[in-house]
Amino acid sequence: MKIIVCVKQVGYIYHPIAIDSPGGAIDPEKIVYMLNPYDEVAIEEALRIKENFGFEVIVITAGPPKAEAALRYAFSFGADRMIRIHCQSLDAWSISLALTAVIRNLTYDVILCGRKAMDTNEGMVGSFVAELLNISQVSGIVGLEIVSQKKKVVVEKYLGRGDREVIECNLPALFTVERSVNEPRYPTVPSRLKAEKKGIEVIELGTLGLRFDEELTLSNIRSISPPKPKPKKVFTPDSHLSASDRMRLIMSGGMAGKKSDLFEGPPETMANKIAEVLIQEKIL
Amino acid sequence: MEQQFEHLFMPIQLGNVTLPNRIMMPAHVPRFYAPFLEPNENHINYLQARARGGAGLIVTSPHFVSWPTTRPFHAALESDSVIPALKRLVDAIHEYGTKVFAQLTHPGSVASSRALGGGSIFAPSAIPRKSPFFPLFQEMPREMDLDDIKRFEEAYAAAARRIKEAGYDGVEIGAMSGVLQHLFLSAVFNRRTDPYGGILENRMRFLTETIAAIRKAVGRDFVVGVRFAGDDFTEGGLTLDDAKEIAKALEATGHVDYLFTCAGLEGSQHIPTMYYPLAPFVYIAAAVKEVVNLPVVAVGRINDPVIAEQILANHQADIVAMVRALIADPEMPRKAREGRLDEIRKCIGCNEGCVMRTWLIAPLTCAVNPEAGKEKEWAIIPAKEKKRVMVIGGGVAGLETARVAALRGHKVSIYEKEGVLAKDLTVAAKAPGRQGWEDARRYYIYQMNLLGVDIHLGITVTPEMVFKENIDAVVVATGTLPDIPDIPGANSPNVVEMKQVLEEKASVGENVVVVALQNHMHGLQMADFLTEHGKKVEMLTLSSFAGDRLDQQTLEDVYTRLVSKGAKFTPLTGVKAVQGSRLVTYHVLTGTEGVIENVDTVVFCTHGRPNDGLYRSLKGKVKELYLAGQCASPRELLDSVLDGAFVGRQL
Repeated sequence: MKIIVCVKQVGYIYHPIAIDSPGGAIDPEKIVYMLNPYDEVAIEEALRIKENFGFEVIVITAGPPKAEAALRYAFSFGADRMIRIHCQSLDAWSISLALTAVIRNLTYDVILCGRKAMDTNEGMVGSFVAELLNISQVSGIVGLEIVSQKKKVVVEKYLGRGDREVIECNLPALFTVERSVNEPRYPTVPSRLKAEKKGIEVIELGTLGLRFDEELTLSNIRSISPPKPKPKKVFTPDSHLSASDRMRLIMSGGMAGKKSDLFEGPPETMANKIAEVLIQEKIL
Repeated sequence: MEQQFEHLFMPIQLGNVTLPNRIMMPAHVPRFYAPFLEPNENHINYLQARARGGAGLIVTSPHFVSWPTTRPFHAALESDSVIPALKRLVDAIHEYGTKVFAQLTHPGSVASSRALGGGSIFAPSAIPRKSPFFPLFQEMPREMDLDDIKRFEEAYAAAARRIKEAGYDGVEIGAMSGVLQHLFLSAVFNRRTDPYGGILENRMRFLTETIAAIRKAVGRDFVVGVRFAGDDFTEGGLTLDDAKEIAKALEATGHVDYLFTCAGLEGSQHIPTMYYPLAPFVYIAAAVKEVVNLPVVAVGRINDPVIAEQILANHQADIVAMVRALIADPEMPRKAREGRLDEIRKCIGCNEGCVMRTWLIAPLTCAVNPEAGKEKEWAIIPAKEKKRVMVIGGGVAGLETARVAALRGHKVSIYEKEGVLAKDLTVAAKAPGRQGWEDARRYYIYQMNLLGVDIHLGITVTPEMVFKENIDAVVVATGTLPDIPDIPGANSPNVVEMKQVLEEKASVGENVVVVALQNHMHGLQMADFLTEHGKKVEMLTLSSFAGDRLDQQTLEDVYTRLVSKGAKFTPLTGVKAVQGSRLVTYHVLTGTEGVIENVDTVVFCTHGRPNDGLYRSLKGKVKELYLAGQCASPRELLDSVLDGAFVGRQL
């Protein structure tokens, strides 16, 4: 049985970035790259299946030469082959066309992808590839089980509120995985070193019968701008308080309580007092 | 050192103008010249000193767009003849790379027709302002009609055109602290039923039409900003919710380049006193900043570049306006940039020299910076002859004398009988909310060390000691001695003096009568101190109200405190005798006697007696002898500092 895992190298979203003025793109100098965390889960799942059933695992990515770092990291989990389709960063549709063109020429039973990429957050490639290959797909799985060698897989999806949907799926099929499926391993140094030495099969877009990058894209980014920074929260008196209460709160730095009248006495008098106050405040 | 203030010194674009940094000196009224005339040399030197000190933007004021009353007269901005004087002002500021805007305003009902020669003052509705402590501006205004509104809008536009011609970089429309534009915005003073009153959109109409008229007159290549109050702190007035709507509406006009938020309609919020926490109104700027994309300016007791940097780093504002901070120390931006933070003389919020003087229609100065307003006359000039100067007295007068003398090159030594310098400031700071005095003290002590003044503590100087020393000049600044009026019962055990109570050297009972014989802070802060400690206080004063020599804002704040704590005020009353727990009083006008029973303690707050014995013994016996500060006659801190500054320049 063969498993293909599609991976993507993403920019680490928690590292500060710079916007290449005038609003065109993110400054490439400032990006810290890593393997998409969802894809880490996918490759880990593939490896667990391999460890149980001895299947072959192929990792594939579509990107520029620097994406090989992520590819090698994924490979070091214990995969068998690495393929990189050489292209620049393209939109989801173009990537899907490229991946499909290569996968079509491979034999496979299961294709695993991360549910979405952490930087673009779109979650479309997996579904596009499955459509293009005309195979079954289940997205956002949280559990996967190979039903022996019967060319069937049972997967689980969250339905919300703790419920899960159990789906039985014929192979070949594509699944996109949620992060909760497993805890990815930490590859050992020897396996990382092995991944460095292993050759990567690089495929040019042109050889796939696909044309220039620009013509493939269906969507392009018009502009990127940094988010408008939110002012740090500072004590703000409620506008509905009276002016003198607002003043007292400001003077005490937000500590003084609201001045209130405290009425004490037997229920009858209190009832009258409350009615008075409600009428005074024009509530009644 | 610039990394510490990376936000503060980052340039910013307003419209087509780039400010070199985020420090703004906003418009304020120093009263070096009447607001309807043209700026004079004094004013130009004053502002230029702030430009030289490194402020990024100065907004000049006051600029009345037209005469304040119905009796037509000439306001400078109404004619092109003002342009040369404005040009001189602009050039003086541009010389240092600082940008300059002009605040266009009209006083509305913050005017006195009596002082201006007659006519009626203007307002959207015939509602006089209230002023609990200040008699001047409480006149009944005339309700403006539609012709008046149109005339004013044209006046704003014409004034803006002249400002542009004079070479200014932009204008700011003043709509805060109860000036005419603010009166229209606030439902407290705008009860109109025509399209200029009612819902917020109507109340904004005068402002938005004015902005449009100005934009038409100056074109797109000129900065137009609006300064408005984000909260009136008055029942029925603008609140922060309104401020956000106003901000959005102003941005939507497409004519405005920046917004400047502040606080207050008639109250002390406009010029927050020592009683306010630092930077108390930054939340207004932060709230407005969340709903608009325009740059926002924050203001209000921001007396420290570190706080300013925090505000910018927290994205609560884009520019920080620091008026009194720059009055107190025009070199503050440069000192911050160079990392000399300890040398910054901070504004302490006493409002003594700035607000108190200008409200009395006198030129502005500063209690901690006597050079403010006298930048040229009191520039530090090195002494022709370097003298050995002995300053006797380590209070503010002595410290200021020593500072100036040392700066001018004299060899100064200062002698203080207490174990610390400026003990009086420490004692004054013990009153609630008066901690700002400690800042002044910190500044002076730092300066003494910085300037290499010889400090001798714990030494009571006698004439013999003076004669023994090899000195050229002596300055006596020995302050005052405590004083209690010589009335029957003054020696009773339950009669104490203010300083004893503040220093907690006297025990005070539950029911206290405070006799406020110095009509400045003494009585009020004593009552504040005692009520904080849970005492029941009744305050007697000879005047119609205690503290009538204080500025409006401080009075408002301290009275609010005292009233909320249940203090009782008995004006126009003096003390005739103390008989145990019984106080015999008299009415100042009629002489009628009265009695206050159950008095546990009587606290006298007086000026004190001048402690000038040493001066008298030295007179005629030393080469050069000077007198400075309270020992000449007991006055305020400001006066001690001014004395010291004067004597220091005489040496």
